[in-house]
Amino acid sequence: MSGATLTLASPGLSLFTPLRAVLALALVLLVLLLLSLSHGAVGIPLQAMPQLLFGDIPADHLEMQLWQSVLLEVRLPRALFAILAGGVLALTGVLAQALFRNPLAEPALVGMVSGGALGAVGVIVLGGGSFLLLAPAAFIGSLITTVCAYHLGRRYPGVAGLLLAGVAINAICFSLIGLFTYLADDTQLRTLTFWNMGSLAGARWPLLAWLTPWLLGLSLLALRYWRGLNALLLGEREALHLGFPIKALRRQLIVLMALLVGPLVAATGGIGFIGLVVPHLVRMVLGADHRSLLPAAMLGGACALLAADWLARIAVMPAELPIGIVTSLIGGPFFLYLLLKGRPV
Amino acid sequence: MTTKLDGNCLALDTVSLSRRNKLILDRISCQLYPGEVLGILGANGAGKSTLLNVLSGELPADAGRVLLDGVVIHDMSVGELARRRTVLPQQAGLAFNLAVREVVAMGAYPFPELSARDVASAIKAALQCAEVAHLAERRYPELSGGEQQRVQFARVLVQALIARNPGEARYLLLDEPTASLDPRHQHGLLGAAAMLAKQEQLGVAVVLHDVNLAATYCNRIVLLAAGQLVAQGIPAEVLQSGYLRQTYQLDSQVIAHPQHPERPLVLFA
Repeated sequence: MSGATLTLASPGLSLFTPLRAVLALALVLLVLLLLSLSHGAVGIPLQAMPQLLFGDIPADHLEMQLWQSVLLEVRLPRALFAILAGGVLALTGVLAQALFRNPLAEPALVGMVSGGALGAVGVIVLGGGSFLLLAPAAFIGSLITTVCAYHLGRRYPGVAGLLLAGVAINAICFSLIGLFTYLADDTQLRTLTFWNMGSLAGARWPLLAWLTPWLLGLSLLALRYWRGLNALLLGEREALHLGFPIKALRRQLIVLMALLVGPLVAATGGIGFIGLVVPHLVRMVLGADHRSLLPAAMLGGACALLAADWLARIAVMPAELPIGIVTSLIGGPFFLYLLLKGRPV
Repeated sequence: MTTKLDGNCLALDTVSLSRRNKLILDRISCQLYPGEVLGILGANGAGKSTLLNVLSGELPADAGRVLLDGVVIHDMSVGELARRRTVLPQQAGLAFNLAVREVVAMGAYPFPELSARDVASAIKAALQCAEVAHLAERRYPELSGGEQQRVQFARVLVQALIARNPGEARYLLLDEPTASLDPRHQHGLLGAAAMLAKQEQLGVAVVLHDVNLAATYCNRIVLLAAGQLVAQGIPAEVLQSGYLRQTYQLDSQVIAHPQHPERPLVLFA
C-alpha cells in the first residue's frame, strides 16, 4: 500500500517540474477565464470576444452592445477579482501554514477572516461605509486575531491548539458581528449579510484599481520570503540557526498576512477553504519548497476561485449562489478528509 | 595554563545561567578551537544542551561572555552568526513534504550571494559525506529517524563548509547527533566530523552519551555534572574512574583499548 503511493509520488515529481506546473496552471487559468467570461445568464460567444474587448461595436448592433456592457462592466472585473482574491487567499494559506508550522492552518479557520469581517462590520454600523475606512479596520481586525491565534495556538501541541484557538476566536468574532447586526438598520443590514456568505459581486473597476496594486505588490513581497518560510518548516530554532531573526520574521509574516487578508475580506467577505485546499493540492504534486509553492499556489488559488465563481453563477441560473457557499461545500468535506486521513503534507 | 580568548576560537568565559532559581550552568569556561573535536559529556540534565545553546549564541547567559574569534557573540547579527557557526539540534521534526535535497539546500541560505552551481556542488559533497546521496530525491517525511538525522547532518555540513575563505574559522555544534543512528552510522558520522575538523579547520563540539565513542573521535572532552565543569582535557586525562563517578554516579573501570593502547576504554560496572 505504502509502496504504491511511493511509486506514484516519485514519477509525479519528474512529470511536474515547478516550471511546467506553473505554465500548466497559467494555461488552465486562461481557459477558465475564457469560459467564465463567455458563460452566464447572457451567453457571449467566444469568437466575439476580441471585438468586444478591443474593437468597435456598430451602433446599430444591439446584441453586441449588450454583450459588451455585460462583459466589460460585470464579467471581466468580476473574473479578474476572482483571480486576484483566489491567488491572495491561497497565498495567505501558504504563509499561515508555514508560520504555524501546521499544514491545516488556514486564514478563515484561525479567525483571521472573521477578525477582518468584524473590523469591517464595526465600521459600517458605527461609522461610514467607505472602503477607505473599511480596509484599515479589517486589517486591524485580522491583525489582532492572527496575533491571538498565534499565541493561543502554540499553547497546545499539534493541530489541536490551532483549531481550539480558531474556534474560540471565531466564536467571539461572530458573536460581536451578530451584536453589530442586531444594532444595524435596514440598509446596513443588507451590506452586512454578504459577509457571512462571501461574494465577488462587489467587483467594480474603481475597487479593482485600488485593490490590485495593493494585493499584487504585497504578494510579490511575500514571494521573496521563500527561504525564511522553508527554514520555518524545519523549526523556529533551526530558522534562527540558519540566520533568520525569528521574532522579526514572525512579526513581518503576521503583518503581511493581515495586510493581505484584511482589505480582501473588506471587499469580498469571508471566502473559506481556498487557502487550505489549494496549498494542499499543490504540495501533494510539487512538494513544500516555497520557491515554487508560493507562485504555484497563487495560480492554483486563482483557478479555484474563478472556477467556483463560474459554478456559483451557472448552477442556479439566472440567480446565483453566494461563492462562499460553493467553496465551503467543496472545502469542508476536503478538510474533513484531511483530518481523517491525518496525513502530513 | 593561560587561555587566549581573542584568538581563533569559540569560547565560554565564566558563563553562568539559571532558570527558575536553579543554576544550570555554573561559571563554565571552555574553548572550542578550529581543527578539533570537543566532546561534551554528562548525565541527563547536567546542562549539556544548555551549554551548546549558550555556545551557539541562541541563549543569552546571565553572567560571563561568549566570544567567537574574540568578538562577543551577541554583538553579531543572526545572519552574520549563521555564516560562522552551525547548529544541529536534537531531533528536528518536519511535517511538510520537502525533498531531501531541498532540506540539505537550506544549509546554503545564509549565503544567498552564491551561484546555483556553487550551492549544488556543496550539496553534492555534503550528501556524500553524510552517506545520504542515495536519498537525495526522496521525500523527507518518508525517511526513518536515522536517515532523517543524517540528512540534517548533511544540511549542517553545507552550512559549515560552503564558501569558506582560507584561514576563516567555522564552528559546528552537534547536539546528540548519534542518538537515532545504528553503530555503523554513529562511527560514520563522527568519523566524517573528525575528518572535516582536521581538513577544513572546523571546530566541532559534540554532545555525546557514549563515552567510548567520545574517546575514539574527540580530541578533547568536557565532563559536566549539575552545571559544573568536572574536568576538561584529552580523553586519556579526563576519562578516569574518579571523574566518571562524579559525572555519572556510576563505578567504572578504565583500561587501555586492546587495539589502540593510547586510547582509554571505559567499562561501566
